[in-house]
Amino acid sequence: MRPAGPLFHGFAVVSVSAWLLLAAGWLLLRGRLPARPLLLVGRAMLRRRHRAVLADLQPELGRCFVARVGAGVPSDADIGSRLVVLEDGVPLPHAHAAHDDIRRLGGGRYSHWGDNVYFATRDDSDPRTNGRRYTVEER
Amino acid sequence: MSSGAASPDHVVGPHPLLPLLRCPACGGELRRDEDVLRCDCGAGHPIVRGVPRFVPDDAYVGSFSFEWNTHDRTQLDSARGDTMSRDTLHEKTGLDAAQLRGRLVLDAGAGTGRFSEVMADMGARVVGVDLSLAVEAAHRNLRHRGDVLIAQADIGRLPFGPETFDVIVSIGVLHHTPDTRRHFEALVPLLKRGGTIAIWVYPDEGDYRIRNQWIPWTNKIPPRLFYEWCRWFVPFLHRRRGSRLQGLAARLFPYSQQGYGLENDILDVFDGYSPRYHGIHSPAEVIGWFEAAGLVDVREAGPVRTSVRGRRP
Repeated sequence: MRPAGPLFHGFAVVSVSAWLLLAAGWLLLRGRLPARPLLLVGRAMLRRRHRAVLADLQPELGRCFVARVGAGVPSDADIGSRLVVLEDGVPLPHAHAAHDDIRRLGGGRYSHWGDNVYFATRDDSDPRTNGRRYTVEER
Repeated sequence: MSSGAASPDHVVGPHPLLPLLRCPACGGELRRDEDVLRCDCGAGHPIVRGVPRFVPDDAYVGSFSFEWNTHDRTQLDSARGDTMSRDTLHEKTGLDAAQLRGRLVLDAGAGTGRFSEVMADMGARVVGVDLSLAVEAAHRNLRHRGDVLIAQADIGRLPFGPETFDVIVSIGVLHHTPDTRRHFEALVPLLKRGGTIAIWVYPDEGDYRIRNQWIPWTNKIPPRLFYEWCRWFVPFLHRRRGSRLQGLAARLFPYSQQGYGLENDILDVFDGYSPRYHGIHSPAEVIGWFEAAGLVDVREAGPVRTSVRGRRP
């Protein structure tokens, strides 16, 4: 197949995008597409970036601890998280980690999933007793 | 890669698997009369550009004709130099070389012949059929092989006698027919007693459900236009991986990020949204079809949902 010319390519991008936006509107109105991702993005654009100190840290499994972040901050369970976990102000090294890796491997891996952040400290110490401060920041 | 009993442009010469073909109208044997396979019932089935044809056109699968002749080698292991199709075959059917070596296999919905090639490399003799003009791509890819025969035919009306095949596989195809179950049932009589049939169809869950909502809109777009849009859309989102826009798009318009390269993802987005029919089914439903068809040892074939296999007693 010959590659399309720029004119046809531009026409395809504009016309198909317009058609699909129309379809998306219809499907959202009819409740056939999940509206939550769109609401989360809308809210995220309107509010300040989330910053908080992680409190009430609970051991989960293995090297993993869990803390509540709060509802309404988009996570990897929704449209993707932009939350960074900081240990004494320094970002932990591995975001979007698989939960099993956090539990088994630790080493500063973390995941923002639903309303919680699952994380392991950089040296796999217990964050409740190691004297460091854990915060989250949306970037 | 083994090339089997190679004979250049095999259908021009006598292909060793050609005698398997039967008249879909009456089941009679076919004899070759130059570029036509003729039956005593009067039916004639042409051989066009090296491929026996048992349908007058590509019916409702024009989008597949387009995509597989555009991406005729994108998913072919021999062209990619990896084991993408071999791995997919195993994940979705549980079949391996030990179960395929020396067997006569029907690849129902062969596309460009990616799984036919893999199975033939494992030592099987394979007949690949497809309703779309993908058969021309498959023929180009596999015509040097004497252990693979490609034909254009409708799965609901295949040109084979009963109890012909040791193994039948159909991966990602039956849900693109007007009636998934009926087309599955049409395959079962072609299986020998003791033979294995393995299929994978779209599961009724997650991204497939969302895609199902889009299909009535996306399959109205002319294929060439939609394909050109896919060539813009997929790289656009790949460049924005991790952004809110990409996250939002992935939830509302699930798109392919398979990790087999950009061209494969573009192909897969087009493939997922352009077909006329897009059936989705639960594993229990599919297992029920197998059991109702009298198959035994029915089980989920691998880790992929709605991949089911069974044996004809």
